[in-house]
Amino acid sequence: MSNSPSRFRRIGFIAAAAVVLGLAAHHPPGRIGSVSFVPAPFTEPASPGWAPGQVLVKFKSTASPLMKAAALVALETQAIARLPHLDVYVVRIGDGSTVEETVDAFRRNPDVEYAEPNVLCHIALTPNDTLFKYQYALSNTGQIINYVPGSPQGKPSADIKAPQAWEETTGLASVVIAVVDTGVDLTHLDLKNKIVSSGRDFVNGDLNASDDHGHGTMVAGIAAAETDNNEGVAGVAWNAMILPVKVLDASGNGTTDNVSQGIIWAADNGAAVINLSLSADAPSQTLLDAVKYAYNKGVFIAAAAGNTNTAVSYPAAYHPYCFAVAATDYNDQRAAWSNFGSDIDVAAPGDQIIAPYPTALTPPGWIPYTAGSGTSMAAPHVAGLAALLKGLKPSLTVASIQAIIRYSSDDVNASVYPGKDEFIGYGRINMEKALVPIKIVK
Amino acid sequence: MSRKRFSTAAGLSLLALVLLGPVSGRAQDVESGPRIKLGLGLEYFSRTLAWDSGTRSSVMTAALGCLRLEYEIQKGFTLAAFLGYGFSNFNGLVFRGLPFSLDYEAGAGGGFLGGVEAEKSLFSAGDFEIGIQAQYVLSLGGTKSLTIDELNQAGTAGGQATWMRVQAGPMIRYLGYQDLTPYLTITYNRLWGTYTMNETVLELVGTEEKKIASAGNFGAAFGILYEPFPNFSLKGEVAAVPYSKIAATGLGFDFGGSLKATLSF
Repeated sequence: MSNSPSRFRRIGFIAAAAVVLGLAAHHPPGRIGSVSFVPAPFTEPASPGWAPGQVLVKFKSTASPLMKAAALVALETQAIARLPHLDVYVVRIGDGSTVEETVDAFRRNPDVEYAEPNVLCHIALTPNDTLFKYQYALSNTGQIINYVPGSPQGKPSADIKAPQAWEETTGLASVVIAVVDTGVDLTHLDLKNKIVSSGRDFVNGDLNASDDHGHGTMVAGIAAAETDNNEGVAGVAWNAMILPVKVLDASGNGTTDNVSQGIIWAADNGAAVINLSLSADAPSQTLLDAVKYAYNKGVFIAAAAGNTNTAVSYPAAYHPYCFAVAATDYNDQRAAWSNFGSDIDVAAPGDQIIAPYPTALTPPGWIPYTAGSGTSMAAPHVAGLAALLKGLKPSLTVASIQAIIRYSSDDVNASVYPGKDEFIGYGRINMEKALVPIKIVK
Repeated sequence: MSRKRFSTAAGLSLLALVLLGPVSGRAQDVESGPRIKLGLGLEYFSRTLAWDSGTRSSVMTAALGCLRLEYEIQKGFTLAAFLGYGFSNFNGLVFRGLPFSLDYEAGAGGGFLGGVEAEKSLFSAGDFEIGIQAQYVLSLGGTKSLTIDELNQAGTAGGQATWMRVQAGPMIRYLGYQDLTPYLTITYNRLWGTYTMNETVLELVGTEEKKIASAGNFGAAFGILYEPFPNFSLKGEVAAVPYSKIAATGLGFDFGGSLKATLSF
């Protein structure tokens, strides 16, 4: 039965071809069917990067409209667009034909000046942030992963496919990521335009969640630094906004009550996503109730699994309210210190991640960026992805966003632990699969 | 024009067609009794579709085959019904309302189709005859089962298309040849429908019903009716429907062609 459309189509073409070719008989003798040259056959490059089912065709200036139409009909193709200044036609190829066959066929037509695949181009969604070239987590080309001399090189494609996903969406400013952490540098060049308010400081009891440690600033930058601004790093969610919530002090420590209050305050103040790059020393019902409160308000919580190569820490282990994130490195290997257990949902790059650092804490002569390692650095990659999903598909529930991120992950340790495992869960996240329409061909 | 308004307009056109009696001319000069005709029809067409509130477009192609039953009430006035099967290809439709967005590139899906048609001559002038014709087609696609392979969990999808097309408008025939009757029609030519896509990836389940509509709604067709024998006729037609491009400036054209063979009793 699969050939039937083709048969119908051919019959349908008979009438069209008869009319078009019949009229074309008025063309000067000797033109139709004459072949003045046989160009070298089109050969497929190693990795074809062209629009499926399309070719570009330019007819010679001597070709009449009827000859053009005849050429299109004869190959069962259809012109779907024309570039007027170049007089180039975008042609949809016939069913059952390949781009290569169609290009070859057009090139044999003496009325065609040239024919070629509609080669894919990529707009500048590779951001112009000056440190983007070191952000292997977002796009790993095998580059050196840090500006510090002697830094290792990554493995190509050991990344979360951010540029590919940014073709689909760069997020919405209406989606807010709460960074419940040590605060955020509210004046940082790469963050100041992304901060929705000065937030809330539960450590000092005020409404200024400035960062006196640095950790929260790094987390905020990984998730949603201002991007394509010729400055610093790119964030996962370009357009999402940041809500700073300070619950940890200048030494990076805090208490469950402040953390719990921070989570609830964020949930009540517009956060769609909360990042928790922190661990509690022991389980806490208060903390559990806080994450449950946020979850029930429709807030996605990305939580760091912990960095002690032991069981998943709290609150990350509070399944299903928190989404537990393990860490991988620039080779898609699990980081040796990343915590493990059945609660691990996914992994994200967390080794030597370059991120913004508070300007006030940066030594003179240094740029306010640094590299950090830990599941703390992995979790905001997931928070950024969740924010993009939330912006693209606002009706998704938290459970659905969790499932999408899980099932779209790459099982990068499948050769050793196929399927979901205790070390990287369902795998290292893949933004492209989570966000970009999946081609279904059968 | 809304679907309801159009349905009303199409209904009125058909009613007018039936109610308008013969005016004058050659078609009514040779009266004959009612005749039953049986035939086969084949059609292929492409239509540029607009969707997502007209912000995106893709090209649909369809190949249709049908059995036709025609009832010629009088010379120049024919009603017809047809039933058949067709393949519709909706490659390029993108479903972003599902948990995992899907880009449909799985080719044609089959489905049953049926429709009605009416054609009536109104008057003639010299060797030319003016008439009116209208056609309605409904295609009910079967569910096309698809697999989603790119994820770390197996997923499935099912797509089903239902579309309708209405064509109606005046036609002019040239009667100056013995066995051949060339004709030209200008038609209101609208296609619309829905493509429903279901997706299941473990607990993730979603359904998106995408409304589709032709980007162009007026077209022209040129055809030739060939009647080599008194009881047999062959009709071939090519059609073009211009449309305004969605993501670019300028006009594009959709094309189609059909063949009908009819045996009368």
